Amino acid sequence: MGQPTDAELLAAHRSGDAEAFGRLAGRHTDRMWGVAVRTLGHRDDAADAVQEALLAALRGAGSFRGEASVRTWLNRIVVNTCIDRMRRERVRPTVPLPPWELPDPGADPVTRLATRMEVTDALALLPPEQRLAVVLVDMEGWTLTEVAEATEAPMGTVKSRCSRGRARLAVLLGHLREEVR
Amino acid sequence: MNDRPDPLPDVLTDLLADHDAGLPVDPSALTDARARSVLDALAATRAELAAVPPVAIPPDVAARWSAALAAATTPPARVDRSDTPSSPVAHGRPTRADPAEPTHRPDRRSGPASRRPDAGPGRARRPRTPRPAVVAGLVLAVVLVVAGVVGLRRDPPSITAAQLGGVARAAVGVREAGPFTDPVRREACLRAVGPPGLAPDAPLAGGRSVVFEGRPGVVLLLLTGKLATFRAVVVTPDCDARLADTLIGP
Repeated sequence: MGQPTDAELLAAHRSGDAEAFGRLAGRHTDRMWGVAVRTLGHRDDAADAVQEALLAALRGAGSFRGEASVRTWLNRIVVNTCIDRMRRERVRPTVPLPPWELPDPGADPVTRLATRMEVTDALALLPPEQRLAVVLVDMEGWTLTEVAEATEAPMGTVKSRCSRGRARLAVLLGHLREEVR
Repeated sequence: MNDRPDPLPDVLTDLLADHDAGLPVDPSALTDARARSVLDALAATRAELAAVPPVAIPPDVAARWSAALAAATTPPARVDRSDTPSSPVAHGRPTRADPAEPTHRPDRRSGPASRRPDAGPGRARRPRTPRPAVVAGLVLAVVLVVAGVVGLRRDPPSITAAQLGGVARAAVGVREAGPFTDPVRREACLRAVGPPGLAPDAPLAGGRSVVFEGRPGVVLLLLTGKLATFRAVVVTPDCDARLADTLIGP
């Protein structure tokens, strides 16, 4: 027998299966964590955001009407949670991820660590919507359609946010020099 | 948010970035002498973003999510209490601890409750027993103690191996693990009689005293670092034996 679908697990949860939601959540936490840790740039904030999103999904499961896929529904929840937190973070500076959290950097650790910190710092300087669009498309590999669905924005708006965000990052990361501009 | 100058690209860069992102632009922008350099810079930016390695979920974070979800989904304990007296004391509810607490993450902020993800409706505590009932229960218990009939502590529930999973789930946040609430004693115990593969210092999600298959025991519900997955271990109160061990999760 194959694995139950996301929709089947959600239905099982709504029918009282105590384990179903945990299984469903376990399928999506890697993606939720990736979005949160890259957009928020801080481990604890990202952990809080994903937990908040999971609990919001748990509480909202009863009212999920199935008009979108379960994946899209969860995407929206975590994206909205991260946007809210990015807007609130303006009251305090973003602290980058400490180096001990980085996975094995491979053959060139110094360069990769330096690159990581630069990207993290540069992302923190983007407006929330641009940061989110760039993270989802360029770092997390979401399709433009997925981003448009999750952010409930027109496709053109998503492209525009990516465009503005990349242009700013190109300067901040040193790929676009002053004399070129 | 920052005091660095905002390096807004110029109009040409914006147009080329729009083109790069798939938006329609005036074709004349592409014929500009600088176009190739700008498009190359945007491509390098995308490549650099894509090359940033993923960050794995830290085990303590996954454990905290597990505890929070378990606390929000755990139904009321279904323990056979037919052998306990029906008194207000016997009906006392265990106090639920913060599910995030076992990970001992210090709260570095003291913001409003609405900012805390574990402060939602799912975290609502059960109504406390009305004070008069508590007083009456305590009076009754004291009388019974004086009479030598029962102690103040309610009898531990009798459970079978088949009931262990349900009892363990209901123990999330319950702090009735006796001496094993002390992490040093718990680790020493698990090092001595814990099952293979279990870290002796695994954080405790909850625990309670039971009578397991007729023998006094303590259920220890331990975090595994995997979402919604726990290890339930039953040891004797003096930790001279492990009575049971089971994995609980999806």
